[in-house]
Amino acid sequence: MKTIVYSRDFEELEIRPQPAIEEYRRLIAEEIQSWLTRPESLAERPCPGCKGNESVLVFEKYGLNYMQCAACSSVFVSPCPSDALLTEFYRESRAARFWRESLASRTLETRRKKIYGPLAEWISGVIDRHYPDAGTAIDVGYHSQLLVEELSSKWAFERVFVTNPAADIECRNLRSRGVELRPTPLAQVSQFGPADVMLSIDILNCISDTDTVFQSARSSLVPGGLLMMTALSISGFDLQVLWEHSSNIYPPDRLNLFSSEGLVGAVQRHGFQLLEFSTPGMFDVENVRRALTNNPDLNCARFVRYLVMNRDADALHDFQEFLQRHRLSSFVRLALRKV
Amino acid sequence: MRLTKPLKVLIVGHGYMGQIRRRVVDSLPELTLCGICDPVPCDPVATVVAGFSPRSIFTDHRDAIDSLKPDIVFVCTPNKYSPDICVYALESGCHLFCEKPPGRSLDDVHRIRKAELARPDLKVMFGFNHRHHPAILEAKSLVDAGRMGRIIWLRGVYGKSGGSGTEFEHSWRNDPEISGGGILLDQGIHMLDLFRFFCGDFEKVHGIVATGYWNIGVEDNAFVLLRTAAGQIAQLHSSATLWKHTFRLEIGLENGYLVTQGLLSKTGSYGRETLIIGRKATGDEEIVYFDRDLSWDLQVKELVRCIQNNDPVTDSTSLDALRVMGLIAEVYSQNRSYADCSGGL
Repeated sequence: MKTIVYSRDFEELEIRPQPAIEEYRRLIAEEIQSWLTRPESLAERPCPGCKGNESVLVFEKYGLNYMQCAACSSVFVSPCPSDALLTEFYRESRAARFWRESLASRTLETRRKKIYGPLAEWISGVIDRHYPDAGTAIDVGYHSQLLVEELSSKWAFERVFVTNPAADIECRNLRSRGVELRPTPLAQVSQFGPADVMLSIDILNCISDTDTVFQSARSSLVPGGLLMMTALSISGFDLQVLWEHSSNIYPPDRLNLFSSEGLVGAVQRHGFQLLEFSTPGMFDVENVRRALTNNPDLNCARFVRYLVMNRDADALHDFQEFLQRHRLSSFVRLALRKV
Repeated sequence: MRLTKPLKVLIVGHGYMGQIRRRVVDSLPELTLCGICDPVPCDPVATVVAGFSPRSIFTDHRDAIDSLKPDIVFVCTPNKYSPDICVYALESGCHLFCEKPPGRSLDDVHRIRKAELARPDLKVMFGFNHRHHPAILEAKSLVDAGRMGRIIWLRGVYGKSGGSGTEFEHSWRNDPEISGGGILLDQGIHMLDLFRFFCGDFEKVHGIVATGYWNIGVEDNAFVLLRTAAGQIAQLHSSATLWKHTFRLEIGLENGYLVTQGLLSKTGSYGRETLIIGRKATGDEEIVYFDRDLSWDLQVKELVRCIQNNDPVTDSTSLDALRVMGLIAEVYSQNRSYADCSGGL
């Protein structure tokens, strides 16, 4: 198994401009009550990581309860809106429209260069190494357009199915050879198999039933096929330090925040071999520093406050690299093989 | 045709390397250890723990091969003894796995190859296990994928600390009569093999060796410059005076660079195994850390696969051994006058 450290020079604000992000969250806060928090549409659920049933309430956001699993420490929303309701939200809500039509388009080229180019580079590298004959891929993640475009320039897939339930809306401008848009519930994507590769970018954080990702990968992938995933993890530095004050924890985009242990447990439970577990995140330290700057009264360990507020850019860069090297950043990347 | 019975393995030479190979053999269901041969009788405690019958322990490889009739012989002996044992094993109809170096000289490899060519039904592999280290495998797949362009140059440093000194100076590895050469033959051979693994054969070789510190009859440092017919150049520094175990292979390509450094090993003394991937277009660097060395297992599994499927061996072959020994022989030849003066080589 391998882990990866990534060194690249940019700030989160370049891809997530603060005013636009604030507007996105304001819309979510406005709409979430009417869309996702109706008691009749919420259901209790076990820990998505280890399936444990014991959990405690740790905080609440926008009317939804975040629980922490007593066994693996994953944090997750429960009771949770159904995936059908979430799909409706991501297709129809004003917040989702704002993301697609304003925020995403405004940061299109930056995200292409800084996020999706390197992501496609990573994906093609894993395929080179572990499945060089890969010809068919299924992408189940949201915001696929840039990823598929970048990936198409690096890997000659014969067929790529983009299947997220909003694919027809999100990717209507996608023009890449061999790409088919098939908005489909996750549980039904196996109809597009057998596939050599499945991509699940950030999807684990924003669905109700995370087992369906692994189950659909198991039923869609050929033996030895690859499942590549990214997710935000509660074990990462910024989320551990900031906890409920983290601006990156909010429903419905972050309904599940697996701990490292919970994520590895889920991978093993579903019979995948772990080829890579890395946390090449670049913004943990920056996120904590920004949060403390914006809110000096925030409760925070003295050493952490001292480090991020008093030390120079080199020290912060080195500390971020330390987090990456020891799998302690909140951005997690997994390469898995179906066995 | 797939064999159902495990292949019987005899290990000749039960020192450091022999014990590593034994662990691999014990871990693979396709293999069963039928005997150990070592001129120094094996540690009785270790053999009892392994449930090993004293009748399976030999001090002469001929007796062991004749009595046990193994399917595969692992030769893990000092360089002086390896060729005779390899030839006897092949003449006795055994598949062969021989540690590197495959002998003390190019002639030794020619002898082994002659015996191999007389028995085309047998499989022969040499212990160039560095090819199977995870950072090297990752680097190779990146190079082979072609995205980073053609290799322009290679630069390798591989060296030992030499430890406290006394033990190092008295090691058989530094006795020219037994080893046939110094650090270049003992350890530099791995890096030269990796150069060939990435670039193929080299047509030009220039080397300088010296015994600069240790009181030994072989070189403790070697610098080697090489060039392929396609113009790719490579540089090796093989050293027994680095004072810290070091492994570093840099690969310069048209669209970036790769650096593998550190080696996963039993003691971890070479540092954490990493691969740095640098890209020319963006200036980005990616550092890959590895936590599991499967090199020993992968290589032996490949030999077993070749035997079971009767496939030709394509990895760490006798031709690879011949070619890399040819490079070393050329360097030693260029330094003959120095060796005459220093009494080594």
